[in-house]
Amino acid sequence: MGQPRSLKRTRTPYGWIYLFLAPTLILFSMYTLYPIGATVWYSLTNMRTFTSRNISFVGLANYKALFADKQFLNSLSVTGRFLLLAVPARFVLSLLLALLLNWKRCAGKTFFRTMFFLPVLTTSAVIGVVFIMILDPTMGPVNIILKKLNLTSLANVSLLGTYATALPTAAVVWVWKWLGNSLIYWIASLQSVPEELYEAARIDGANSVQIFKSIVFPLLIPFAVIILVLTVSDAIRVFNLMLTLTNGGPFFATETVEVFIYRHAFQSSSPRMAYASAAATIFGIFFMLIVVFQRMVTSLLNRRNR
Amino acid sequence: MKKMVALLLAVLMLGTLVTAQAESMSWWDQFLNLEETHKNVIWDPFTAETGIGVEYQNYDAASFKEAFDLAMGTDQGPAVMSYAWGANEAVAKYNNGYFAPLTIAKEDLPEYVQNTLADGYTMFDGEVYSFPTFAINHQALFWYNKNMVSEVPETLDEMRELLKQLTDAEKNVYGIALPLTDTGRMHNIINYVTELSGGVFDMDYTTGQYVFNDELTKAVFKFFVDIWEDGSVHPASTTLKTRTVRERWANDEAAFAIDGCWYPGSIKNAFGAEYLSKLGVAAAPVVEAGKHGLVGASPATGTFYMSSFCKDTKAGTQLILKLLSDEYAIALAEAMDQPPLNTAALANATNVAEVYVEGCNIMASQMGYRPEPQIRNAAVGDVYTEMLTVSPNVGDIYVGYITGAISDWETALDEYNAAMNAELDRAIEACRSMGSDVSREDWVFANYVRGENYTSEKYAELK
Repeated sequence: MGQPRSLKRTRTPYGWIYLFLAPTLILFSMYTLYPIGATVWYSLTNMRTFTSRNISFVGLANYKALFADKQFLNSLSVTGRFLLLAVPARFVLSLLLALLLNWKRCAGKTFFRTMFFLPVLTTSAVIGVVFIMILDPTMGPVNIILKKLNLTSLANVSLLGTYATALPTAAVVWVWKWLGNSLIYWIASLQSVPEELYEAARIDGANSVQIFKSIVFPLLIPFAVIILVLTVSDAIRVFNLMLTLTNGGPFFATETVEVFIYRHAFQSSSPRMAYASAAATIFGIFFMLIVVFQRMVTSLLNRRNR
Repeated sequence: MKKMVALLLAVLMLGTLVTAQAESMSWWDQFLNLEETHKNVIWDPFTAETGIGVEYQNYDAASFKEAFDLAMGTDQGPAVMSYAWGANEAVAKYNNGYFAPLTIAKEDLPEYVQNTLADGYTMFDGEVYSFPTFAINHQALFWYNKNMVSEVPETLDEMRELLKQLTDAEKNVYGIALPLTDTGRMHNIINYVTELSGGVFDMDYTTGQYVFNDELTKAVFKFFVDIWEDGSVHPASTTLKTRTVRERWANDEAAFAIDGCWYPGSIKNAFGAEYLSKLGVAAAPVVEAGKHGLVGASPATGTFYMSSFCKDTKAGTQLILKLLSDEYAIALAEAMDQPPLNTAALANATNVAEVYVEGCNIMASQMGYRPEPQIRNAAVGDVYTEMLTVSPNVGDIYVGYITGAISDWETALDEYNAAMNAELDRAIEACRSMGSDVSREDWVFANYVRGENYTSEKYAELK
């Protein structure tokens, strides 16, 4: 007995949707869900390498060991300090630059936007290698300029090779590399503010500071939350730049959680895949908390706006 | 339609042919200096005999380990690989399934090769997995610029003074450049100089205890601290690795560099043969004049292993066995890399810089064998597999101190020493709980005299 015609018509499109979704679902399962599941499973075993024999379940032992490991705690601290240094710097600097480049009287806007965006297109590994040369304490241009300026106390200082300066220096390089990205977000946000609002405010006698404080800034808040979360997300994934720039050194001064995971999984002469997986799981949970926080703040703002 | 099918079949056949012609074996190593030698003496003749090509990939030693571990997880590893780990880690690598056995019996190998084979290093479960192609050696020869240095002193104190004199920061010239981003190498350098001064590299085999904090180690460590504080070490050293140290030396920015006997070959390959004319070599200065020690090597690991990725082990073995030819030994000497195991080749080699031969001779006079617990008790291999890396090591501590992260390096060395002993005890206990018959006593060799060669007869004496 055949089905009624109307029912057939409503079912058919959904069947096609699943077919079209299948490649995405399969790839997502293979390259996202499976690695996440495998990492969590590895973290509960004593696995040393991918080819280890005699793998056994050890429960939460790796997690317990991690929280007793000074170097893991150091990597958490380095990641936290990097976020504190780099995120506000990139967030504020890019906003200030966006305001400047969005200003009608600013000359050469397109040129500067391109210049600030160029480092974004350059791979982190190349940036890392180039900055090692730029910051070389003897032959690097920074050192040569310091010497020319007679700042001999600062000359010959290895900014990337000194414990106290390595992390701030890496943060500066990272901010410079990614500034253009945030800049584009801010410019797009600023351009979404209706021109009539500016005109109305000027007619009412508001100056530039008042316009920014009372009109532009409140309208930018939803964008700011998203830009902030994206900046934090980028800053957490600083692995490739840090690896080429300092390899986590000197003496673990720039060893972020990602570099810590990589060292234990692949760089050590006695690799500990399970231990690194446990660190990766904790790191993943931390990352998810940030996303949840972003969703909460965004929905709160949306509710207010309604 | 028929035409279409025929065309499709033709394309498929062509594809198959191309794939068949492209059959090849991948070869990974950290011996960039030997690429030309391997190509001429090993790979090309192998391809001519078998029709199988060889794809070469080079890594520096530190990157090699990372790349290989990554490849293990993605099934993209090489068919043939050099060995880039510590001698005692071969068992762990075997247990982790890194290697495949050669399809040849021990008896079928030349006698001088058979003499070097040892269980847990080049043989596992009675099968031959590899053999050394290089003579035992260390990484602490002092290479210098003859235009700047006329004589290398015998003691570290005198060396410190010389480095001070050589340094002229205004002209961007420093006494020495060190590879401080490779803290594993720096760990080895400090411990080799300690051993050459009559101390121990890591373990005192008369007591079975790790010793990284005795007076000799601290004296050597202090020398490296002093030369940093004097300003005699190139300030870029904290961002340099072994290869970039060579650039600073070649550019006359540093008078000295510390490296193994492959240094002349590396310099020639990277910068040109003309740079060899200014290269001199000397033994490492020691703590006390007249008091010298031997570097005790463990039994040699293989230089190249067939990896578990190798699909055709017969062809892989055929490729590896080419490393035993006289032609290869001579070419090895001429490439000025590590000294060949077949030492007769050094005499037959032409086109070898005198400074390389001098370096090899110094090295040969400084090398011996130390006791190896694993030869006495094979179960020790389980402990080596179980042991975890203890960090920070001596090299890390040095970098930590000079960069301002550590204020008291002596305490840090004490802590490292205690942590290494504790880790060995933990690993022994873990292995015992899994049924291994092993104890700390396996590391104690009552008949060992430090600085003397520990021969196979000495093991028999203990029984």
